[in-house]
Amino acid sequence: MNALLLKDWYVLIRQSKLTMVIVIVFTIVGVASSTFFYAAVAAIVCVMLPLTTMAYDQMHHWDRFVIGLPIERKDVVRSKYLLALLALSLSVLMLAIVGFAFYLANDIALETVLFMLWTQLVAGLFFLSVNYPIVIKMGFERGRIWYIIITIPIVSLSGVLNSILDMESLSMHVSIRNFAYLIIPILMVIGSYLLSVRYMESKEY
Amino acid sequence: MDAIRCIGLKKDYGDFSLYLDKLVVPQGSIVGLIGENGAGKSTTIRLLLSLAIADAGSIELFGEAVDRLTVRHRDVVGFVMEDAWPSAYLTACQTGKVMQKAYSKWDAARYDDLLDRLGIPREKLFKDFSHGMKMKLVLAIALSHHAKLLILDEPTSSLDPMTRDEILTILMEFTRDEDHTVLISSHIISDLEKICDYITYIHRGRILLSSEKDQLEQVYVIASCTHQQSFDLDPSTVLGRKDSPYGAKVLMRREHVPDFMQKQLFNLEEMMILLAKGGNLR
Repeated sequence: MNALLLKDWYVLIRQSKLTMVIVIVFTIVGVASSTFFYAAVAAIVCVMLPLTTMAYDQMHHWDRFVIGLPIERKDVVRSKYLLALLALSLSVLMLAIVGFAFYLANDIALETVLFMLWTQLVAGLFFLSVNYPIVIKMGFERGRIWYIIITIPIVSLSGVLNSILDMESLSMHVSIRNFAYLIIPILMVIGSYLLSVRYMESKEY
Repeated sequence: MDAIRCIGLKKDYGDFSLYLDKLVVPQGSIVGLIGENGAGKSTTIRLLLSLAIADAGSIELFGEAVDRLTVRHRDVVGFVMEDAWPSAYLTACQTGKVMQKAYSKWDAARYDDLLDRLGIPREKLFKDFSHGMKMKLVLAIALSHHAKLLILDEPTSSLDPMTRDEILTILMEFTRDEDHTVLISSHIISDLEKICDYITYIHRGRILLSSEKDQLEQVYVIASCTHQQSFDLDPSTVLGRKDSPYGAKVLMRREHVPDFMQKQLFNLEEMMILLAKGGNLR
């Protein structure tokens, strides 16, 4: 699996510099304006990174080549999920650093930072668990229609909620205990991974 | 021992079906898979590499029955496949580093040597390579992990004659070790004539002929005659024929050729054409 992670790392540092800049900008803007919508988008963009590598893999036929290498098919899936979780972790870490820096400067409430972190984790894990099996089963070309159908409503809904809800009062209800609810998206990711492995094992080229 | 032995291998795609009653690749040999486009060569190779799963039949690799190639098998099998390429956004050097982590016996010195020998640029992105250069890099990978078996689908297609010759030489060097085996498909039959010990001819998803290459020339003859003379031949002795404005060319077993026919220099490509045009060896 190390071979796959190394290959994706090479691809990402060459192809995704702009994406990383977007993530950093969205994180800073999100925290500065106490807007959880930006946090959700930053997480989704991060989780999209491995999806982008899947698109490149399929477009340039690496997805067939890798099947001939001494690598288990389930490791192909595992590497993409691992990469997505790493990217999401980085985005969460970045949000935490920026958020707590603003909190220390008294520009934002601690509850708001926690709520944004929670939003980011849920959005990222949900996006990962829904979209990855679709792209693995249908390929990026066909899967992206579903990808758009699923992603646009989520992003739009979070944008609408963000504009109508009172962030300050909503954030006050958020505490560390709310992170316990993360068990749901985590279970979704596990289920999604198992489904993706099943699709990959039965795939013919 | 046979490197590959397939019995009753079957794959049905609806509009095309492949059935290989018996395909044998003896260890230490080079076996050429010939046939027209769409005959089933690539499907055969996809089945052997487990990119597709057979509906029926068995595959043995070095005497071991395999449903699907495992990591252990793939570690000793080098491959070239249609539309299967290393990552487009990696250089040859980066690809080498990735392969080093994938193959247990990756030979970085050998890979480096092959990059030099085949004139592959080290720091250019794979997506910017010409088709021929891409093919050379895939071959360099296949030859750099101490594979015992190479399964190559059209490795010389769209390469210039000099490069083709270089690659054929490398393949012949590979089989100097008697444990090394090559199964190679190509529609450039002259390439296969140069290097193969055995020829298997697939036509419309079935094996029409499988034989030692040298034996083909001893057993079969391509002979020409007038149209009228060709009609007088016993139809059961005519294995394949092709008519032209100047006469007929007929494929026959050597012992069936009448004295009035003119024997031609044996040519594998012509034999394939004659068989494809209504011939039947069975």
